Amino acid sequence: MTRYIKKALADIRSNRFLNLITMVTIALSILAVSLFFLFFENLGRVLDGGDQTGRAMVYLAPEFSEAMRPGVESAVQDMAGVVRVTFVSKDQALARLKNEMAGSTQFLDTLKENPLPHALEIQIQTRDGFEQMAAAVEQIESLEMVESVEYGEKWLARFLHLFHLFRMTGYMLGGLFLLIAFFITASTVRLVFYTRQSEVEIMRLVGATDRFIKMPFYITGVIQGGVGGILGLLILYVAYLLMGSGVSRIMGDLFDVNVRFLSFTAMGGMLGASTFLGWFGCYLSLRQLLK
Amino acid sequence: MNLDTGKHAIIRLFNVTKHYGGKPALQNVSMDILPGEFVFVSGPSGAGKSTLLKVLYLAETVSDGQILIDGMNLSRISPARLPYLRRRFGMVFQDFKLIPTRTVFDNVALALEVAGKKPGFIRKKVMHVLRITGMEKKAHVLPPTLSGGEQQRVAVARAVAGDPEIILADEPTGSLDQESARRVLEILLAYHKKGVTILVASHHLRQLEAMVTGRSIVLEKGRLASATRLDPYTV
Repeated sequence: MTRYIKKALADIRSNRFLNLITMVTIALSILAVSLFFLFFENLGRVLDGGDQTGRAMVYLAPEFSEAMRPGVESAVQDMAGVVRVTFVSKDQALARLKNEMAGSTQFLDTLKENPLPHALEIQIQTRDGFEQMAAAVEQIESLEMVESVEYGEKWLARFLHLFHLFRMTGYMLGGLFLLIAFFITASTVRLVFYTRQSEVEIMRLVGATDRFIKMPFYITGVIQGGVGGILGLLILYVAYLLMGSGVSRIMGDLFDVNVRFLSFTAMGGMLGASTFLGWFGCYLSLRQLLK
Repeated sequence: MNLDTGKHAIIRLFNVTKHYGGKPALQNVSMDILPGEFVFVSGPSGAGKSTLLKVLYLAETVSDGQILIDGMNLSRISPARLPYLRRRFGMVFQDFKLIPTRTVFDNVALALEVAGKKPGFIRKKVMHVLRITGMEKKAHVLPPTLSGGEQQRVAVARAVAGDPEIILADEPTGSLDQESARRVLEILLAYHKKGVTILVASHHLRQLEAMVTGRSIVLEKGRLASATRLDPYTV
């Protein structure tokens, strides 16, 4: 193995330019994918750290009386996804309305009877998406004494769909960058192979096995992938150090969360992916070239 | 082909035919070569000399007929076994086939590296064959800086480094001046005296034939035209 590693290092030295191009290509691809990871990791922290519940108003039927309150409250509380239930009596609701309408409340004073219904203000878990909330609401609506439920479903659905779309686009772009890096790596291996074709032919003539010929290429691929990955992460880290404080301040103001660099798991994953990329590009190219 | 000598032959050809796109390069060539024999293969350009050597080290496969190397049928050898067969050969080419980006030492060492020899053994062995070929002082230079004669001596050093049973030399002196050619032939002759079987394909055989005891085979249009035994000569 030491012999193969020495040979691979010698090959990298003798084909500096092509190897440099491959490493830079892998580095840029890893940089792009890592950037997405950095964004989604921090977005995940914002979501984890922030409010992951949706608010809904459960309007109760006119027949509802205060005596029924414990039963209705516990029935709603027991529903899957319901985090908190707060009873809002029709008097509290009217007081809130008056408060919100400030100076234009004269007409409310002319009312002989409070027209507002008793209601339950509830918080519903939205971590698993809009469908979870919709399902919980549907269950609540089926309860006796519940007239209707309002939860801003149109706005929420739009927001959640947008978020999922954004995440999917991120994954797809990340995958695309990795694919581009893979093809460029495979092409570079081909170019290096073509420049060394006469050498490979000579090796075969003197009795080299396929393993003897392939091993230095594989090790070169692993080195290219590894170095490219480290380089990509280093560039991202430098950019993070230069711009991170500004972005952190904005994030801190908006979401009370600071921007953090990639976790060790994510960095390990990126490094593993880039190393695999280098090796796999070599593997597929050589499989075709040495048929 | 003599059936008695055939029993002891290290190389046996049975009606070997090779076509390139329908054009015959070898036609029904049969011969036996004994261990330790020095065989000259001559003939005009396009007679099939190089093709004969190529089918022996399986750079080309025969279109028809069979070849046995030390009893091993080449048509039945698997691609995985081919490298091991080639390690039994030492090969010398007119265009040297040296790796220009590797030093003389590394080029010669390649023949031993592919066989998985230990670095210490390789170092000693390479320096030994470079000493024999007179290239010891050029061990760390790159082949393109050497003259044609020197490059061919490096190629011969690589061919003999693995202690082959058979040396196949395709026009080994074709591009060399008389003095360089003589030195290359002397090295081959030295290995012949050690018992190595040598096949040399060349269309300049006078100098060769004057130096060694052996057999001269003439090919014409891919067919075996004549085979004569050369008179002993003392160098």
